[in-house]
Amino acid sequence: MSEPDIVVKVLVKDFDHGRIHALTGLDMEVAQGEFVAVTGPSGCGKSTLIHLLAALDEPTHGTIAVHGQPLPSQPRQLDHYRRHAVGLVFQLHNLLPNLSALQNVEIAMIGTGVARRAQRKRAQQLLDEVGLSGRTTSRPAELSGGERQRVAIARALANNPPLLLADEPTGSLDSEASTGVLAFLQSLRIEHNMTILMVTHDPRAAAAADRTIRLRDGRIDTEAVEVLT
Amino acid sequence: MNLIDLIRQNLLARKARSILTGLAVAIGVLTIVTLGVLTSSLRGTALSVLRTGRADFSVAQEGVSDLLYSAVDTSDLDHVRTLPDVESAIGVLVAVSKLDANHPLFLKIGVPPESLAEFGVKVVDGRAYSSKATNEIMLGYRAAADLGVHVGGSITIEDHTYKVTGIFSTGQVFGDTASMLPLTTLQAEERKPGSMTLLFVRIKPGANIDKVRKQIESDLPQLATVRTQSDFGRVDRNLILITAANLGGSVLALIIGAVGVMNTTLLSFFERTREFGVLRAIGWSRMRIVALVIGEAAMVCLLGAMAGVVLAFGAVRLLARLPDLLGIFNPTFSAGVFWRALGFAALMTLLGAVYPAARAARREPLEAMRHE
Repeated sequence: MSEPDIVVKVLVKDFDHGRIHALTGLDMEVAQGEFVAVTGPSGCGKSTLIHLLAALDEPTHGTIAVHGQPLPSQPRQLDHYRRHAVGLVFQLHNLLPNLSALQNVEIAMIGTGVARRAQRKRAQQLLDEVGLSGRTTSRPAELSGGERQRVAIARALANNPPLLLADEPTGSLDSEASTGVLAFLQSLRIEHNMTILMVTHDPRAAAAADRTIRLRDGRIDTEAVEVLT
Repeated sequence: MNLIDLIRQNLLARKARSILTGLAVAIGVLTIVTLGVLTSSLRGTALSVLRTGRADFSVAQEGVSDLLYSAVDTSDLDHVRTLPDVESAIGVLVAVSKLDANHPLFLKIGVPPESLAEFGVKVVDGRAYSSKATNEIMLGYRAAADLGVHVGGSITIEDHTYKVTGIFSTGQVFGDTASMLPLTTLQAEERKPGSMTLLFVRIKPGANIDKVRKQIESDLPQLATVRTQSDFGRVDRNLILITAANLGGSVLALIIGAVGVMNTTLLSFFERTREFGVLRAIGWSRMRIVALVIGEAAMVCLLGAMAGVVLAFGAVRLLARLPDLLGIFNPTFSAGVFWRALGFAALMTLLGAVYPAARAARREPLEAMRHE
């Protein structure tokens, strides 16, 4: 196995002044280039884990290290981490409704110092990769659920992050669209050696991952590893 | 895509709202620019009265509500003339008459014929009136052209018919749209014998103007000397009131405009909270969110300000055609007008958008993304 890309130690996250315990001492490691599915019942802390890894929230206790570095705490470093170290895909695509598919990808590159022409080229290339080369000018309302999610993945990849965090990326898709999205995530791991952590309820989606981590009551319940053939 | 592209895109996506907000800004700018041009023009016209001729300064009664109510006695004029540093002083009486519906404020200026040259009056056609004539008058060339009257013709002002002996030019719009007649004749008509509105004083070369002014104000405390625009309020309280009204109107327009901008920006903030959360989650800094929100408001304000200036041009032209303002309102658009509009737009952006922008930036990404 490669060097761990994500190292989580005794991670605790409480809400509502300690009355709700989302994570209760989670220990976990994910290797670089590994595609890991995190499953478990509702309220077991899956999404909380993704939010903590994406630096959208702070743990109550415990440590997280990504790419060998602890998560930053300073605002500027946080912005840099969210922009360059991780790509984030949500269950609901969260695309900006007024922008085209191409612009929705470009928006992640605003302020990165990438020239407009280069931004456009990169966005175009990513949409080609997710199979949307013919839909670049379409707005989210004109796209199907699967297409929107693929635009969201393209946006998450815009700044070449080595780690992709996906929170129920197939949760709102039909099976055909889900298959397409999962196939693309697998290709990212295989072709770009990208580390992927995907939260899912769907056993079929989890089956697409190299390994499944099951959470229960805020910590690991069982661990299953499935190697892709 | 850069931030400007995104700002443009967002405004175009909400066209109706952007246009209405821009309109609110435009109306604010229209009000401010029009009031500003009106006040500045009235002040300029008033000042041009005092600057007519080649005087170093003017003298009028202190604290009157309107310069036309100023009363300076012949004895005051005589006293000023005796001061050692004064080279010359002339007194004029200014009165307003209604000529017709289109000229409700026609000015008559009473000046002794021997003082015309010193008063800066150049007879460009015909001759000056005689000192004792009761039915002779000269018209400024603008007034003559406006009324279609020539030398040798006649003009009737409030049942009194005068023969036009000459056409004059003063170099001041105010003077050139007026008429002139002998001082004693006007004093008799106005039933103000021995009374004048203004004195025009010229001092000897090398003498200290301020010293002479102080001397006059000390010897004749009921009078005030006027040399600059800022002195004018001392002899015309109306101008102070007009300036105060301008300021009040401008502040009101600013507040209304800023509330309009804030209303739109806050509404947009509530509608787009989730969007701001997503942008923060994908690495946008707080400052970039602030720049986006303020940039959108600034672009609307700028476009609104430009529209407001164009509308103000039209409004001022319309005002200048009003009979009540003919000869008094001579609008000039200076670069200051545009700076004022730009400053106004910037202030509205600042007042209207900073708070919503700060709120948008302060929200944590997760909290914002959960917003429905």
